Amino acid sequence: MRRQFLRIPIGFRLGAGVLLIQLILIAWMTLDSRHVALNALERQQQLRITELTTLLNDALAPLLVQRDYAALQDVLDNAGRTEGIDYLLLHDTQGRRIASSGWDMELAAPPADTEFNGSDLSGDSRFDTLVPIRMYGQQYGELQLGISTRVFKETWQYLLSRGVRNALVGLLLLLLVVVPISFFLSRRLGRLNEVADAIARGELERRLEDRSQDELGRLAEAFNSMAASLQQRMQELEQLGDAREKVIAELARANRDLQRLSEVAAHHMREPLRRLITYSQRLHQQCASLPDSEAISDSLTVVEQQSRQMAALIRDVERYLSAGQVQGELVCLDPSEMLRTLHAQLSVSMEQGKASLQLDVLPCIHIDRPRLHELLEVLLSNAFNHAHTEQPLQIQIGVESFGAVNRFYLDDNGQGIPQDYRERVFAIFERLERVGEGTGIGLSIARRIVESLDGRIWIEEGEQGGCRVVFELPICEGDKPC
Amino acid sequence: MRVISKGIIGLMLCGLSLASLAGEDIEIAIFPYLSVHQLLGLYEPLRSHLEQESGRPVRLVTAKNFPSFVADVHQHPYTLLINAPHMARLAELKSGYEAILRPEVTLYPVIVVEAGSGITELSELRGAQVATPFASAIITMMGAEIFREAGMLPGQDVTFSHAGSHNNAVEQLLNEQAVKAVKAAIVSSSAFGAVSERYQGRVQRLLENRSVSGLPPVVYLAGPHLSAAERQQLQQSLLRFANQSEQGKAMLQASRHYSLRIFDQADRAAIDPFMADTLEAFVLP
Repeated sequence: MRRQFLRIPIGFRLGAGVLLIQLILIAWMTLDSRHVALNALERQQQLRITELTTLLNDALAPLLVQRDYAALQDVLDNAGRTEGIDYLLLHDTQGRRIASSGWDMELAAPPADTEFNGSDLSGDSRFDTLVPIRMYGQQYGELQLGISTRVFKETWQYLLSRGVRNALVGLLLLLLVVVPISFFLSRRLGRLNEVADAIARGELERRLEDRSQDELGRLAEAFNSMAASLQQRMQELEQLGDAREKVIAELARANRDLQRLSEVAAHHMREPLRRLITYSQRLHQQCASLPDSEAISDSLTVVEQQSRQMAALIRDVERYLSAGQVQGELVCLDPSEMLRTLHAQLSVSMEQGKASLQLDVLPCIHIDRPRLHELLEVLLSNAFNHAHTEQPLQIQIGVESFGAVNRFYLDDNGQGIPQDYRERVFAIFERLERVGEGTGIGLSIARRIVESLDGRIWIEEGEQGGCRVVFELPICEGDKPC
Repeated sequence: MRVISKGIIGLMLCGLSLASLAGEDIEIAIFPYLSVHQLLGLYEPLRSHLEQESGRPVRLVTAKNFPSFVADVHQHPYTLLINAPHMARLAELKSGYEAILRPEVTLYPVIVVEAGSGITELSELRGAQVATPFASAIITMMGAEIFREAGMLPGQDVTFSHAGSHNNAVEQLLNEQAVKAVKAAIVSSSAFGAVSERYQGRVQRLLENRSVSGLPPVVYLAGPHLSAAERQQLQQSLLRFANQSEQGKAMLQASRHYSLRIFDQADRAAIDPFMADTLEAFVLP
């Protein structure tokens, strides 16, 4: 209902509202003036009756005291000729009729009205009243008189018709004023709306042609200024956008070149290393029969180990570089099954047969499959690598939703990471200890994957005393089951 | 009316309250020697007194002139009648009323002339017009008697011009442009005080003839339907009101009657000389 109302043009609403209020006001004023006029007329009529009866009393009372019936009849005859007096009938104190005017002495007198009521205009047009004739507090008779209410009714009807006519004229004038104003107001607002729509569609050169100096004219002027400013800003943004796209393209190209260079370098370095390892092993066999072969063998072993270490570093560098690139199709993937598989594999390979995994119901992650595998493997490997030797590893994985992101966490009961190292461990080749097989690139790869998906990753104190790795990723579109 | 009035007086005699009396309203008739407003205002204390005593509405009535009043009094038996002396005697003789009270003060005629007119003797008015209130007024009749005693016959040696009231008579005297023949005016002794006050220095007393017996200005009469005892009771009630109550004294002071006393045979004898003129002036129905 409210929406439908708001769809009505504002000019029409304004005009209709003003008209409605004016109609109510006119109706109220008409009714009120009717009431006031009726009251005034009633009071005037009552005053006239009072004045008339007072005068008649003053004229009749002395004559009644004198019992001058001829003079009484003269007074009644004269008074009866007064406009508005229908009849006069005079009684003495015994109720005998002693004089009359305009009424047959033989006819019964009409019943007297108790009070003049102007609002009762339906009956006969006469007010019958009975007044005592007094002098010095003594009653000498009673005068019944019929006063015509014709003038009262005519005056009342005249005032009423004037009131209605004035109301209609007022309404007509109002229509003549309000309707054009509403029409022009609505039309100008419509133009403003049309141009605003055009600008919203991208026609930034459109302007309002309103030269008036009123509020709408000033609004149109401000609107045009705003549109011009918007057009200028849009042009500047387009220029900036072009420059940005150029920079992005250059960066992408440089990144691709660097990626390619890294891949080529890794590829070309891997072959000499392989040969170095092979020849080191062959030398190790050939030198076995030589004197001091033990010292030679130790040296060759070191060479071989370092070569293997270098190969691992080259492989991790390749992993790190590829972590920022989409590998295949981006889809919504359920991480739960992959986590269970990886946990089982790592439990075997890391000889952690009693390691447990508590997995909450996890939402899908919008990612390509290889990198999801890489991310989860890194995080689980990190937990296994820092597990206590004397107690079974316990891993708990859960998720919380925060607005548009899902916050995943992986909680273990391992050795944990001191506060000072919780950020450093994400740096490439950064390790907590120098022993072990890792190259110190795992968490760097995890961060690169997460950040490439517009997420973030960090480390907190684990609830089980170990480490808690937390990463946030945007909620998968629709968050539908995968 | 007759029955009611008898009932009132009967209860008065028995010393009972009149409030228990049922019946019609009581009316007091006063001869029209003042305007209606003046009469009703002047005698309001008396009306109120009788209303209190009787417990019934009491109204004052009058008539438009003396003849009408005489006719009305003759036709309607009023419980109390306040009348001019000659009309009071007429009511006694012809309508059965009985005079019961009169003011102590005496009314007599005063003949006035215009100050500076040079007229000092009554005889100087021979052939002149004399303004009087009206023909049926007792003061006119008394003035006529003065002229007769002086050897001038009204209508022959002097002509009476009836002005309608004491004031009008003096107005006629002073308004020479209109009525140049009017040389004197006859007013009552009670009216002369007011006249001399109103026309200060313009009129002077020519004659205040005491040889004509003074008459009461008004006479109170009991209705013809009242018994002797009722009349006496009414007389006593009015005497107490007039001479003992503050309201009564104030009323008599305002009317310049000052006090009331019982009307007696001597009073009747003083009025009777004017009855011939009175009977001639009024025609009873």
